Amino acid sequence: MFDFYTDNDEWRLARLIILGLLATGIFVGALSNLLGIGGGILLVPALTLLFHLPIRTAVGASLIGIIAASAGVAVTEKKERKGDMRLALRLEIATTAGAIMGSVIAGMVNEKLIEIAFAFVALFTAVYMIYKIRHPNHLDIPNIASKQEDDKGEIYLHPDYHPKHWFAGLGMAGVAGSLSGLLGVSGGFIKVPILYSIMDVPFGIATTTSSIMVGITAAASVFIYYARGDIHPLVAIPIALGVFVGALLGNILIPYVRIAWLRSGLIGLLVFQSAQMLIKAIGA
Amino acid sequence: MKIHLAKISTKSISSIRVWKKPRINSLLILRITALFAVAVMFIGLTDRLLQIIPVSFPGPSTISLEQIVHSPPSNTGLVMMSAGIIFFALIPSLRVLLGLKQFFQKHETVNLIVAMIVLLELTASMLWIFFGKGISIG
Repeated sequence: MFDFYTDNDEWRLARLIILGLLATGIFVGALSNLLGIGGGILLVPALTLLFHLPIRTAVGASLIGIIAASAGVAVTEKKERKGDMRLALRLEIATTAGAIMGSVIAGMVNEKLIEIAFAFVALFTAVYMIYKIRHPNHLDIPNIASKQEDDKGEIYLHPDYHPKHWFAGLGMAGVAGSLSGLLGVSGGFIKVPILYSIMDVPFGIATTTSSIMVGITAAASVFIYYARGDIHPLVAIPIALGVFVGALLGNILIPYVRIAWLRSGLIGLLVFQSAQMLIKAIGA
Repeated sequence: MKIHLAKISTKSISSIRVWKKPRINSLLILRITALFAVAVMFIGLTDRLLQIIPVSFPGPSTISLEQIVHSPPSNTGLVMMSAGIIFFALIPSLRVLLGLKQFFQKHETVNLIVAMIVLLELTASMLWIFFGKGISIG
């Protein structure tokens, strides 16, 4: 739709594009808060398919967007929704290492390969969301464990659950981190099932712990993209500001929207995006 | 009279509690940092948008730390945008750092070591800014 602009007149159009980016960020930020997704899975295709940006620029902006979503959630975070910081940090040892590796690899491989990988990851996310809809009794009921209040007035989750299969969990967390660094996605679609299905962590704690991890993983990749020159402030900042505002807005909208409808719409969008990315990569 | 004195004494103890040094809330620090980073990025973007200069889209890349420090005043917008992005990217590291501080205070040795490893990994990724390839102002 849009391409690169160099003239004075076209700079006015570039301002309109910046407004478009801001609107995209608000939309994705609100959705990420409402549905508990990182947002990268929507941002990267939007930036490459709608704004015709190179995928590495899109991934760089998406990583900033993920941090913005995480920061937006932190600003409005309710104490009872806090995740398990201890568990998050233990898994982050593998995830952060994976994210650094993924971001370095992203600078070496062909962009087409990244697009194809992204198409498959988007499709996998859609399948995972369908699974969540079909198993609401197992996955959608938050099962927060008992909490204890520490002397700083902040609530921590009491470890009355015992995570199992640490090696498998750490291995998969490393894979999630690599995908995050390579494709600019949050990797929550891998982290939550790892915590819940493999490590036997209650679902409520799995989702909140995953949201803590998302920001840390993205931060590990951002500096590598920054140094490589893949972060363009005129793209990344409207996205970050939009996502931040959108995340705050999502918090207000929670009582007024039907999450099930949004989720169904998102599945359709993900399948469409996946097909479009594949077509773009193959050049059909 | 004795009862009256006892009441005064209790009141004075409670007033000492009120004036106790306030504790620093981790969440508050994160909120202030996030809002500060957002403000810096917003000011930088607004400055850039108000300049009527020919510029390409998606525009220049972020500038290096050295360029942020030694940049001419005409480049304030890009400097603030780049600095805002760095501040923003530091928020998760700050979160880990605050966790590390709490583990230290609670003498949770294993968690302290884990947090230090994660912080070390994040620091290693930050080093890319210093040792990565040079980026010119676009």
